[in-house]
Amino acid sequence: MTDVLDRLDVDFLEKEIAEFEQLAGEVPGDDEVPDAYNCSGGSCWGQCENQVAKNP
Amino acid sequence: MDGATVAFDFRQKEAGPDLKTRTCSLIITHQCNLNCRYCYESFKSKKSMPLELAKEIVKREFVSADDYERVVIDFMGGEPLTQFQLMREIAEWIWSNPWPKPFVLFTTTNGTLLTSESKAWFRQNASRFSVGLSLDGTPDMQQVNRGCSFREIDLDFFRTNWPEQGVKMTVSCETLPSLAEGIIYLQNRGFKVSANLGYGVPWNDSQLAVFSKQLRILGDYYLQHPDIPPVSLLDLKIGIVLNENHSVKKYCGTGTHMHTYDVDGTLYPCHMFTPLVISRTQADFARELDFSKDEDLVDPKCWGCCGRPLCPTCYGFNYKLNGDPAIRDPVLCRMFKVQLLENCRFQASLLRRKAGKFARGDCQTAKAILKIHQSLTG
Repeated sequence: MTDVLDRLDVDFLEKEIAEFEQLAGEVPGDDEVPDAYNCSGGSCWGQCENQVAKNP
Repeated sequence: MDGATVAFDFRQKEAGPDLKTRTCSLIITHQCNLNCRYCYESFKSKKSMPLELAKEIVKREFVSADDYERVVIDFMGGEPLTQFQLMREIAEWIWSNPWPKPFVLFTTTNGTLLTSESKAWFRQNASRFSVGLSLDGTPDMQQVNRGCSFREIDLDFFRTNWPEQGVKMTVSCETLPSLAEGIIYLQNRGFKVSANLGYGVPWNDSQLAVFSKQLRILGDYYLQHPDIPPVSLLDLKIGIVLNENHSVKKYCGTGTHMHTYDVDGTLYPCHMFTPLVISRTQADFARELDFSKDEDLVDPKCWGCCGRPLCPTCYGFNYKLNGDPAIRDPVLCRMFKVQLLENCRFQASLLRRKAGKFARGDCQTAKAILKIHQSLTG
């Protein structure tokens, strides 16, 4: 698998996370299913999850 | 049946409250006028659904004692517009009757069979009948994938009547090297684009680098044009990977929220499990498949993959190819990992612009990027 982030990116992200969490506390993961989860990935149009009406 | 007839106006934002929705797909025809290179419908014919049968099914769906609050009636094919008159008769019959639940009418089309008559009818009913267009990128890409010209499709008709609906762009092995060009082409013409790699297409590992390169071109384009929203391929909500205990959730509504009726009225989990797509024997077995336990639909090799909560799959294709709805195409798995990494790169570039100004969501995205990167390249 190609390494797509260079060291500068990693250092930058680590620094920003540390600075933010020092002020705001640890940021946990998000357990909500994102909108994109149920659409536009497969062969269908996402009708099954009501993409049409939810995202008119 | 009592109660008010309610058809939502698609074009109004308030039309889409989060109601629990049953999707009732009517395969009104097995016929199609095109022969797209990625087509998964292996058993096309001239069969169509009788009008009275369609009415019976619709009645049954509306009165069934379930807890669904809304019904989407989805007209499918084949190419549904080969049976425009049938679709029109069903729709007008639905609108002329009272129903106990609000409903939405929808169809998808390749756009090549519209006539002045059908266009006038759709235009008149655009607020209560939504139409999605399949369009595969630039004119050359459309020609390669579908053997038809843009000249046969009235793009303005779709853009004007359903501006928020967007187009569905399917990518084949042959059009993958033009992926970025195709998406940019359609976005520049005012379309919202939903692009995905075709399922059932003979992908191989030599295309991983091509896919990566195309996503990188696309990402660089969005970085230079921040006013253009990235397509879903580069807009994965990656923060979700931070939650180690993320619940397993079925990727789509097949076999649960969806009811798909073939031309003879037989019920299937979705159109991918019908005799239009798979053999009659396979389809008969599919009717007995149990989709109620989400964890049973996870490919065993995916447990432990950090991308699992985001990774798309098509249970119907899995079943068609492997005889098991859970078992995925391993090449598509690797393609998705490429996509995930390119999302990391692109989203990291966006975050660079927010140096010193991170919000909570940015911090979450940053942590997810590092986790994915470590997991897939470490």
